[in-house]
Amino acid sequence: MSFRVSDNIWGYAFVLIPFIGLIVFVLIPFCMSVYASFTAWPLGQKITSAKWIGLKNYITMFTNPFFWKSLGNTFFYMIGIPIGLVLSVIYAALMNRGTKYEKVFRVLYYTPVITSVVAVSFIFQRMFMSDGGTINTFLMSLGIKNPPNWMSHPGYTKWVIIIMAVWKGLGSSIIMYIAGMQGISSTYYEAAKIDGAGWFCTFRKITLPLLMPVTFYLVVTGIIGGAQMYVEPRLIFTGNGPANSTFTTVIHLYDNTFRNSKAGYGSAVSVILGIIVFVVTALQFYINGRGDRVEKAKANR
Amino acid sequence: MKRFVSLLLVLILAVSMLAGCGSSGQSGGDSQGSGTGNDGGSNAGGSGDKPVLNVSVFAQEHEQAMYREVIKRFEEKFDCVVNFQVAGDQYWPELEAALTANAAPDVFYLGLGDIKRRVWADKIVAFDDLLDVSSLDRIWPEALNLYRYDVETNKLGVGKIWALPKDFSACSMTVNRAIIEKRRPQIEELVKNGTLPFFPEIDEKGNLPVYTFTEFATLCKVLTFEDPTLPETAGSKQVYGTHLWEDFTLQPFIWGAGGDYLNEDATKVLFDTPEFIEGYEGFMKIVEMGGSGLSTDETTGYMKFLAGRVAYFPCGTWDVGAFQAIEDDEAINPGKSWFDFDLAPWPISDRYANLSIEERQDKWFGRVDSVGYAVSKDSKQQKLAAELAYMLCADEEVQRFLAKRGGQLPNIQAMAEGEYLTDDSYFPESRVVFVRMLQGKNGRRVPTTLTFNGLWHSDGFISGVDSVWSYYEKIDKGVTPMSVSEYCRMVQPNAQALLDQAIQDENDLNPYK
Amino acid sequence: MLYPFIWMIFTSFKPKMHIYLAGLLPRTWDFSSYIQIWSEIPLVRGFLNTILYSVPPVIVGSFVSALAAFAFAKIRFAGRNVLFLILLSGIMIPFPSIMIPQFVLFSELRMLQGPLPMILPKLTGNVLMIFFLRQFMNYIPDSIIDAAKIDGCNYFQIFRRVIMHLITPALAAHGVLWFIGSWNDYLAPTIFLKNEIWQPVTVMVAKFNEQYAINTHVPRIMAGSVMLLVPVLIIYGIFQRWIIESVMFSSVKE
Repeated sequence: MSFRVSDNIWGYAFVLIPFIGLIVFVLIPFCMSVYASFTAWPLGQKITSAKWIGLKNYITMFTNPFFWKSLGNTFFYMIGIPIGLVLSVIYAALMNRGTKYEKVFRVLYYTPVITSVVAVSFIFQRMFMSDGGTINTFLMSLGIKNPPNWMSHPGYTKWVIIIMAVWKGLGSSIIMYIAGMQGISSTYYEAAKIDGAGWFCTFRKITLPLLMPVTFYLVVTGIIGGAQMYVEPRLIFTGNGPANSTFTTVIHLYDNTFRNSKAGYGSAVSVILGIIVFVVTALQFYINGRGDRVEKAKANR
Repeated sequence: MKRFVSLLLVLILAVSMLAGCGSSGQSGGDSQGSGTGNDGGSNAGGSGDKPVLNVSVFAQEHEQAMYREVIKRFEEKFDCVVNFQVAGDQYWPELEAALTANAAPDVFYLGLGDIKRRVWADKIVAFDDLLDVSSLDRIWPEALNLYRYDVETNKLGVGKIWALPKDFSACSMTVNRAIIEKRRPQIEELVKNGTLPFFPEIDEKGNLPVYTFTEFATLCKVLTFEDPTLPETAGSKQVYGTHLWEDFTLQPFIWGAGGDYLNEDATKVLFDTPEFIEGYEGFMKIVEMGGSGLSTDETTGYMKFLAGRVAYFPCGTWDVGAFQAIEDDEAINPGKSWFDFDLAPWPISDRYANLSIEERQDKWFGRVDSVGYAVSKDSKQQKLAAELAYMLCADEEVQRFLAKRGGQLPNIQAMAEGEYLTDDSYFPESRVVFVRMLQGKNGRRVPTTLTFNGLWHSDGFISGVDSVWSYYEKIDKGVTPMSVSEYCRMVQPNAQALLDQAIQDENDLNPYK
Repeated sequence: MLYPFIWMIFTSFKPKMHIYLAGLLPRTWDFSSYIQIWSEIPLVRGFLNTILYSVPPVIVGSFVSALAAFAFAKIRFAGRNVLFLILLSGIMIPFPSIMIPQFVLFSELRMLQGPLPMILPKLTGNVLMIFFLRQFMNYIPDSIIDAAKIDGCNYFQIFRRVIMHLITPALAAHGVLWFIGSWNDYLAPTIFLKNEIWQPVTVMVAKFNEQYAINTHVPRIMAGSVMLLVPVLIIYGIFQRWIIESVMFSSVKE
């Protein structure tokens, strides 16, 4: 009995500091934002002096076609997550075979991750330019007569961002997968070999499932990060992008707050975005937990 | 390995401690926030006896060096300390944050569209109360008027002066003379057969070559060709007559057609008026016949222009320095073979086709803009701050230097009309274009600075222009193609609603009603 | 694959306006960007600041995070799963929405002119690190902890003597990742650190990104980015093995 009481005390003591940090630096500011979302705060003056307007900002937001478009764009960009994961797994498999130069490759592939996003955006902007840009010149040399106009055709603009985001994030997912692969005990592979399984079958039935924890972590952080995407579309495209095809919810938030003096509205957008991400993440944890519970139940039978 | 790592860590810790200690001595009273109110606002008791001014601006490289020199002189003259902070491209959000937290610097930039907001929030002080106003006479009256606002009648352009202009900028067209020269025979052909009334250059009497929409479109068409003489660095051989995009460059066309975006007191949006539609149609015609097409994108336009592949391009006073740098760069542009820029006026409505060149001089318009130095209401040294703003704005040496480097025109009217035009060390050749714009003859204020926010323009108009481009270029952009008149009529109600909303938001905010 | 990066290096050697010309290789090899960076801005000071914000706070914060992760993983206290989820919510809130209130907060606390805004929050730990370490610690057999309890250790002693040794690679690895993140942090220091003396290199390099895009000195930004990269790459190369080992443990299923 006494153990449990003191357990509680110890537990709370250890998690105290991070919680203080969370409350002071995140929750309190967020509460201020929530408050602001119910006002007509124009920025440039104290939040408390702003006029209270109740749910008006939220109504404006839900009836604003630009809000929905930005949400659509933001979620479209998340297609990059599975693309990135598939590529990373393949690369990781290739870089995990014990050859001599692998270490060098790993560092090289990690470089985009730590390169400044400003520099990368500029480079990609130049590369995807319609006439004279590297990508189209390359495509034309392959014989493609009319390469797409990446920078101004609404159907293609999002892909510029997706390609750039995948390129930039590859390095860290690769490392995670390599580590995951190295952690798989070789007994599994030996057993598979004895059973006569081919390379692909082994990969599918043994490697991939055992990499689930890594995949889970990458998907969760990918969604959280993707929902907050701001810099890349902002730097590469002007304004909302051709036919409003590239701007994200955070860009919508930012523009309304800083360019249109509607900080109350901006706060409302951020609150909704935060709620969406929270729900999605919680769902993911639940599903993941359920999977574990099912397995445990199976094992215990 | 472990030993090495722990040693390294200790070393790093030590170094950073040094960094922490070393500087608190240096920065005087401004470090570590020890609760003496040192953040942002000016501090009377900060670092000893001298008053301290905090100034926050953004500035180009060469400007910074000049400003620092001027500030040194100021510090000596008034015996004070000035913290001159230059921000990068996050200036405006940072400023908003500072104002929200009552931590604003003593002197900061005021954008034209922010005047009312700041006055109502009681954040700035009128210069009439701080300086001898007659000393402001040397500055362009047009520029000063941009910063006038009368609180009682709620009118812009009259009343007290709330900021001093840092610069008074204009945006005209620029023409790449090298391209014109390459097509000289074809252009002269057009003049001979009457399609063009005159060659694109300033004539003997000093008249600017002002074209109508159709004339200009034809000219641009002729200027769209494949140029084998372009160097490799251009990336492609295709040259275009012009590259335009609505957000920034449509205004001159509307004004040139005799129309405008908003009515006199900025309460009505005028998108569906015949003049507006005419101007926009002129714009699209030019783009269709001689534009670089396929792109409403500003950045690629810049790149093409700077590679020598666009003949007519918008050019602001702030661009001049950079453009001149390319022109003068012998290494890549020997003998100005593919880049020789000069200024040109915007085109005007076809209705004026019968006017002589002299009569056309007053019919074209371009945007003028400005950003100004404002003094913070929370400043403890308001008069001193005003003096500093005045010096940065109207000191002769400063203005001369800045104008010579091509960043802006002098704020002092006499200098701009005199020395700037006659002295050839200034560039470009046709700078009289800028001067005319600033004199008010050919310059108009940017419409969105008259309203509380620009939503009626950005969301209400610009966001859908791809429909129009899709129609005129006949390529599928995944949007419904619409002709200009269809589009204008379609967006008018929504834009008006957005403007109404902005006016209402503004009224809600106005404490002086 | 690495083409953009190669492009970046070559661009850093071009004179300012040449970036508008096509062609990968510089027409004129201009090393002035690299030299100018050192003279234009107090780069040494910037690097010291960057180190200041990336090393001591990360070290302290890692320790704090490890303690918390230990609690979440091994100590059974009431509501630990709920509390963990709440903690996780901290990283889901988009930065722009708390940016301005945070600024107001720091301003009220009079911290804007000093380095504290970039140090204090980190001292309270890193949620992602807690997430990962907790997962890692889940695989440490309870038996070890029970044995220590029987020996009479309290939780803190258990942590110090037992856990710390077991998680060193994971801790170090995530510390390094956090260090890399802090090294490259740009948005927060730009807004919260008003005093030039305290700004890290990322902000200084970003100053070259001008208000009027055409004046952006692109080669200098490239040069600055390249210089920023190098130390991080070196550290990453050194710690690579540990990083891999740490992730390795958490993937193994019993």
